[in-house]
Amino acid sequence: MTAEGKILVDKQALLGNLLQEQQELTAVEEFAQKHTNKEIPVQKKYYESLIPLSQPKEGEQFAFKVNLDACTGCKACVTACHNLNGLDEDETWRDVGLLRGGNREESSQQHVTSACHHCLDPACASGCPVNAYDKDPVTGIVKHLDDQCIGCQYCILKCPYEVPKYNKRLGIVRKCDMCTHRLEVGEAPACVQSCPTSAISIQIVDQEAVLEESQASAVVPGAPSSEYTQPTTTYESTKPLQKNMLSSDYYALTPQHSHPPLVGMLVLTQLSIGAFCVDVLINLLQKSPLISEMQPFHSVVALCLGLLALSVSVLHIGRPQYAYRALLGLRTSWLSREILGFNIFAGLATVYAALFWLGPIESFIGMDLPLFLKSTGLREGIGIGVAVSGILGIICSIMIYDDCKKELWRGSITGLKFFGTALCLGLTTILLAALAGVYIMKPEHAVDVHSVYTSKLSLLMVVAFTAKLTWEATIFRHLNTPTYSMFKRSALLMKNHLSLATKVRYFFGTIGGVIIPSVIYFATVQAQQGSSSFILVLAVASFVFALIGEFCERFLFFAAVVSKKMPGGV
Amino acid sequence: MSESTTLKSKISNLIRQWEGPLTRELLLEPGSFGLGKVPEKQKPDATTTVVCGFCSTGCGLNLHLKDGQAVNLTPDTGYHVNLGMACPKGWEALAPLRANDRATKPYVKNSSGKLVPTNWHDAMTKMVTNFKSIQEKHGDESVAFLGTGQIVTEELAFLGALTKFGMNMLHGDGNTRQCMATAVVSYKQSFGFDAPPYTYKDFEESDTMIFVGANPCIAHPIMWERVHLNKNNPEIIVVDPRKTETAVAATQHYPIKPKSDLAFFYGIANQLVEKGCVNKDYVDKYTTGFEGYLEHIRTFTPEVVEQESGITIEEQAKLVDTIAKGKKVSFWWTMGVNQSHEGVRVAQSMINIALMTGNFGRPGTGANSITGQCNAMGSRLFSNTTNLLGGHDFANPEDREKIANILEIDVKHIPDKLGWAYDQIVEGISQGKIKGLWVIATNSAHSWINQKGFKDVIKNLDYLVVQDMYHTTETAVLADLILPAAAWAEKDGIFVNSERRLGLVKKVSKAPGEALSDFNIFRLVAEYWGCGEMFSKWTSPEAVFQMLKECSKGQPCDITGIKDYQMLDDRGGIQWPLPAGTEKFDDERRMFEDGKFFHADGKAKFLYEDPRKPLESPCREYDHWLLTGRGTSSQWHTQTRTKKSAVLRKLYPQDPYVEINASEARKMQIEASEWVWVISRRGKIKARACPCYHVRPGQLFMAMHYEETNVLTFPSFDKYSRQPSYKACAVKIKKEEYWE
Repeated sequence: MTAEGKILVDKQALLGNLLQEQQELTAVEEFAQKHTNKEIPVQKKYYESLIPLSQPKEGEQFAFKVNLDACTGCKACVTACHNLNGLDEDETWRDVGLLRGGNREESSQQHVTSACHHCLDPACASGCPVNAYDKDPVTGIVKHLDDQCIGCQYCILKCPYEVPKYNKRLGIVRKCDMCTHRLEVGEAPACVQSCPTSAISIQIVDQEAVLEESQASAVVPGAPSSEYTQPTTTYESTKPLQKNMLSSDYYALTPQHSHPPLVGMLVLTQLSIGAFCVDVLINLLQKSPLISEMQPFHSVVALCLGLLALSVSVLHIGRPQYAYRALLGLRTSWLSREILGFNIFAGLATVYAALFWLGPIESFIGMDLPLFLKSTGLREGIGIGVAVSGILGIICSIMIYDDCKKELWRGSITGLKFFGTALCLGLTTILLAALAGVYIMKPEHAVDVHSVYTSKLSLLMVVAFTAKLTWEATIFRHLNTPTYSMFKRSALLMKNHLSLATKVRYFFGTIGGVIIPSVIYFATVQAQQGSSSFILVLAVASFVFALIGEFCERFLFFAAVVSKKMPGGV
Repeated sequence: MSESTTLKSKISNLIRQWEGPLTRELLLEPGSFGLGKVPEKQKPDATTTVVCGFCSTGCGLNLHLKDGQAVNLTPDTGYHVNLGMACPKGWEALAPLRANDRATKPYVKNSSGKLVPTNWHDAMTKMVTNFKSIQEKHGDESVAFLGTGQIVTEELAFLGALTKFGMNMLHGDGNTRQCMATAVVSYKQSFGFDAPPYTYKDFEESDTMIFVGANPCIAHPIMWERVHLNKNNPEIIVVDPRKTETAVAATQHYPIKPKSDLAFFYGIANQLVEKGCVNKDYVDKYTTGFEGYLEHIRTFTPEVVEQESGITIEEQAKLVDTIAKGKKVSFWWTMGVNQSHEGVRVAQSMINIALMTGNFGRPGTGANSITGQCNAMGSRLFSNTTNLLGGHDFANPEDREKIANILEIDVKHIPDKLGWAYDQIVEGISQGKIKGLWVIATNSAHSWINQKGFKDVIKNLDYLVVQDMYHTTETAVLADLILPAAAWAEKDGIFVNSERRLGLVKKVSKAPGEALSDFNIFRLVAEYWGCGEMFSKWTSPEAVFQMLKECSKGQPCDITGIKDYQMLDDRGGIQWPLPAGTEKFDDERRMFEDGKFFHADGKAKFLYEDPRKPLESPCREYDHWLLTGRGTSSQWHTQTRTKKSAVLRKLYPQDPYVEINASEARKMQIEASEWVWVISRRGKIKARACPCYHVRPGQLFMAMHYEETNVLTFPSFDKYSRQPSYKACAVKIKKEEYWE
């Protein structure tokens, strides 16, 4: 071998050795193991005084206590909670926010660490449709039953403190359980163990006292009112917090999660129910042979869109295979009630639609059906049942959001939106269905359809959409008010961060709900013989535009909601 | 369990399921090894203590191991530094190792300028060929290196020795120049050796703590833990233009005008003298130069100080009183002092007060520099840049002889002069004197002052090698060659913390792909360079540690009493000095208890100088001071590592932000969170406005972690320490117009 060749071999050998050595982990052999077989935590000496020695008595419970004077915002608690509980890579159960305030003379700031407040009346639990929350009768800890959860995330909307966190990998929500299993054996929760300045501790609180304290107060300035859920965390400070202390993200508006499946579900259920109602009403108010000819078709259209809506809603659920549990929460959860309501609606609507098709059904199954099924009275009765159950379903939908106690989701606002959508899209759908039915199936009624449906429905659409759009737009008047209200923030979000959706909402809504229906109206009024294919194209366009407009409205309903929360960071 | 109950429980589970696979995801189990409950899926089969690799606090982290591999960690309860606590960076220390942009192979720039993976043989051959040909053409000194305070001491020593003794380089410096050079020089000049005197116990024992340009609540939360343990109900005084988190937690805050610190402390000293607070005995016995100092500070009357610093005469008197009353007064400074155009003299102005009042060498006293990086202190002694290994002098033939003997190399390989400082190397590149550069574990293209200037300058290089754990850092993407380095906890070695404590880093995680420890990369470079023979003794970090011990012998930083790594592990770290033969010693020791300093006369020196105006200060056009500093405790420097942890990312603002005085913001109609322009003579950047009262009118604050910040900073340097003055430059702020 040449000298150079040998050097090359040497280099390669060294490289091989180094690469191999790099992968050998020898610390365990090289260094003595400390605390072998020691089960009692050595850290105990630091946290012993920070947790109660006894269990809570009747009427008491465990609660977090934070010494604000000691908290300097290092955020070790967040990471310790993450590590010691083995959370997923980006999952955190504790947050640290910052309040800032003061004036030219004296500036002040205060970091605020918070996790679950283990409330007396946990909103997460009352909203949960599957009873996946359990407030421990002894410790008062609000525990989440991970295996019970179906991942509907309603608790995330319900909790004013943003505590439950959705875990995409598992399709469920998880949250702080005050390290129950640590407390059980006399160990401190991760956050308590890890605070370098012992700012967090666990105390026993009197539940009655918490209730009294929670009247017209908030845990820290800017936090949601404690009346709603009666949080048990106590924040202590020797320095009074200045009046103008604001969370440092107070002006940093961020759009919220838009929940696309919910957007789809809500708009389409309302469309379907609206269509049923409009159709039933038309049937009740007018007598025309055309109507009875068209109803079978209309009811199928409405039913299909309704069923589509309900299947879309399943996309929202992390673990749909357990969706059957959703009725367990009927006693307290509007979500359970909504699910029940819509199921009754869907059942009745299916029967109702089927009643129009008894002839084809008989020939398909090859036997006669009982005669009473064919009575108009039964059909009309069920029709009213469909409408009523649908309306009840929409009321439940409204209550779901009203119950979140967010100003922008108040029942009156949500109600107008949801029923408005039902009316607007109900009209639009039936108009389209009537025209399409005539065009495709009953061309002979081309003239009738305009007098029975088209002119009236299009006029009603113009009125309904104009009213809804105008009312919705009134939120923008808050842009000019000095008060930084939730409405102003929402309007700012729509104007800035969500401007595309806002533009689409008004542009499409106006075209589909006002302009095209006006054209249709004049076209039908002026030319009774009008070209039905032209009007059908207009109706299709109106439907598509109006629907997109409503989807955007609902997207904004979720994305532009602003509510009080625990202080956030810069 | 009978079948019927199983069935029953199955049915009841369908209805309401209390237990199951998802609940088990979060199952906790006793971790043994004194840990308490830990996640079942990460239950360790062994544990070992490793010193954290972020800041200089030097916390002990107890790594939970499974088959030798780290799976989790908790702060070490028994470690003398952190007493069972850690900041978020420590808790998340393992996350950055798992990032998917780790360099797993060397990368080389191909003909179309793109960095592509290659093998080590090719990488080494290219590096050696290119550097050698540059040296042939432009002289040995035309290749330089920029090191770090982030790698272990043994590696720093290897880098310094390899480059200077083996590869004939002269110029090499570290990013420690950006953080600690001022403290080093001030101590060297005042004490005769770079010896931070304190131990963390002093935080607990002091009755008056004066934090100057330091924000331990955020920058060193674990040191703040120690302050919190202080039982003396101490006065905590913060001197800082900005009301920092620490200022909020303090009992007194003096928001001096930017860059008025030197005049301020001369004035305080003057009033202390007038108040009769001079400890004459101490001054006479242990110091020199006091008379001249007295003369010098006389002109800094309360009126002058009020004029300069904006602190009223009454407020000054309150501070003077507090210091006068204190029995155990300590001064603590960090980057607010170090990163200044006259930082050395500012640091010494505090050292002077501590000496003069006799607040020295006793528990809870001292003029104490809090260090920045995890191994800045190791770098200060053993990086072979600002001094010859172990605090020796390149210019001293005896020192060269001593080191040559220990390393068993020919003394002629040791240069007899100092190389250039960081800024001089950058200047050398711009003048074409430096043509090849090797950057190790630092991110100059983000962190160097006047960043745009730096990025322009390095285009002059013929060959740039970047050695880093990621191939994506702002600097790595500019390289001709990237060498993939193993990270903290993927290798062995020693860090030295702020209080001079040597602590261990251990290999408890496998480096990804073909990444090699910096130590092993240096072995490889030595072999390919052809000087492998010279480093035949440098076989492992611990072997090098034994040599470094020898180098320290007889020096103030003598560590010959530390037997080996195991001894360091057993004791929970050991502070220098520990000369051989020390029988018994405390785990928390301070220096200068005997009043003996390291100048030839054994005395400390009073050093002083007239304050100089900074080279750039606000004017009519650029009407604001820009202050810079740490943002949050979850961010580390240029964020190459901290931004790799999903949890840490949640704990700091994602966008760069600029704090502006709220009443000024109102006048300028700047609203919270809106984008604004911050413009200096060097460049303009966008940041989110953050109006608050924590900064004074006429001042802005930006966190250093965002790449944008150093676009603005002004390159001026302390003339003694050559440390860049990051903390103040002139900028203007302006609303973003709607068309922009």
